Amino acid sequence: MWVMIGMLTALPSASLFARQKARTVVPKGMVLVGSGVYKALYDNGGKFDGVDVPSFFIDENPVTNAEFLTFVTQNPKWRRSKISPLFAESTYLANWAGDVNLGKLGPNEPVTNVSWFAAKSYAKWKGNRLPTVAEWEYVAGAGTRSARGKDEPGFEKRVLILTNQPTPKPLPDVGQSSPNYWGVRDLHGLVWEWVLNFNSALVTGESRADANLERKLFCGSGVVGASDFTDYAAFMRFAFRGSVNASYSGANLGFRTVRSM
Amino acid sequence: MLRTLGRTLGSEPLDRCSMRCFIVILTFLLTSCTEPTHEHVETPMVLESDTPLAGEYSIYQVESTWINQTGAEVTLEALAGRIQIVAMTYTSCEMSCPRIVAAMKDIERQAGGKVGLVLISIDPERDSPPTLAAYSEKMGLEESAWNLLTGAPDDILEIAALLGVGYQKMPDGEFAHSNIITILNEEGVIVHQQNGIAVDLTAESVRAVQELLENAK
Repeated sequence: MWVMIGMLTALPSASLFARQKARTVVPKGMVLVGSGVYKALYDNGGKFDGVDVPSFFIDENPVTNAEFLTFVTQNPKWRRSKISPLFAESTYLANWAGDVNLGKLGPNEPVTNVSWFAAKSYAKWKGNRLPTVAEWEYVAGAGTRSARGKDEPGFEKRVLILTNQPTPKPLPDVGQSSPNYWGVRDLHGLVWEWVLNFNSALVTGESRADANLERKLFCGSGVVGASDFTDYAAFMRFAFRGSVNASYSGANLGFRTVRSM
Repeated sequence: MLRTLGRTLGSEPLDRCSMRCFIVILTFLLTSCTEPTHEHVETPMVLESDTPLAGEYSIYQVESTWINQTGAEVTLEALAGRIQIVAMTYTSCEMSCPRIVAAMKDIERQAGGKVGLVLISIDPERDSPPTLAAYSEKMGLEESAWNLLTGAPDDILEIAALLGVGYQKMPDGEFAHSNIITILNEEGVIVHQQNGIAVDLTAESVRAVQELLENAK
């Protein structure tokens, strides 16, 4: 019954999306995401409704160890013994047995211990790019039956539980969770993921306490005040993005790539 | 032989490059007395890798391509060989950006040496090369010294990450951004940053540039 109602309410845009999907060639390993609006967690005092997100392709799963191994094999400057200290901290690929040796890590586990610079470079090598905050959050906000997970009972609670659970060791292989409405897996609960403009969250002065000090440094109107206080998992993601710099790498931070249409 | 070279060093001031050559030659000569012939090529290399390479910390390592106000394609590496004063701004910004440009001019004038100045646009959508050229004209920026650059959004973010600059496009089209001026040495290594445009902060940047100019002599 619930499924029926969900299908009926989502019908107009869903059928549009189905038609778009039918005439689009989707790159291997990626899925098509239909256009929509991402309602920013931190909006401009309620003056603006959201960010338009045009249709794009996104990796079904996070990038794996095996995929990243191919990248560093073909691009020696991104091997851990070669990488510039500007682009990665000493934890970069620290869990690997060697420059091009995964050791005990499973090839299908999500790659972690990668810096933003390395993730960006990998994406470029694939002909893709990293997702923007708006794109990532838009995709991650989808439920199992519709693009707006918030409308599905229990969605936010489920995401919060997944976000809060400790990172298992070793990490499970990618692609084991059920896909969301767009067909994307592992957005919540496997690893944190780099986004293209991860450091923009800082500028808006929301996640750092000393707003007065920060505000002196920026022009344009500062953005304070969140639009949605119920989405606690999103607050956690924004706080996390605000806490890292681009050369950081951690044992539970990976990424996936996107491609514009 | 060593004494002869030592005397040469003492009598003639050597710049840093010839100093490095001197060390390499010296190593070569020293090892040539003790090591078998086939080691000759490798020994100076080992010495070089013991001293940290400046290039390792050079932001010119990024593999991005940019377009300047004349429409020419440039890589950041092309900026090497000259001290550069760098900031990230956008041309339609009316509040802090003109003040950043003014501070950069002050640093150049007060330091009193030959330096390059770079403005990297954070607004590639609006800042096309002609727009950058018009801005350059309006602000009186000498083409021989100034590079106004625009590029791909993710490459701009990468430079921003390297320079510690944060920015965000606001829904009204304006940008929130840091007011950071960076001094790069001839190799593209960050030697100084001023965070804000107050006069005392600008004075510190002037001193940083003067020190670099002094070292280059």
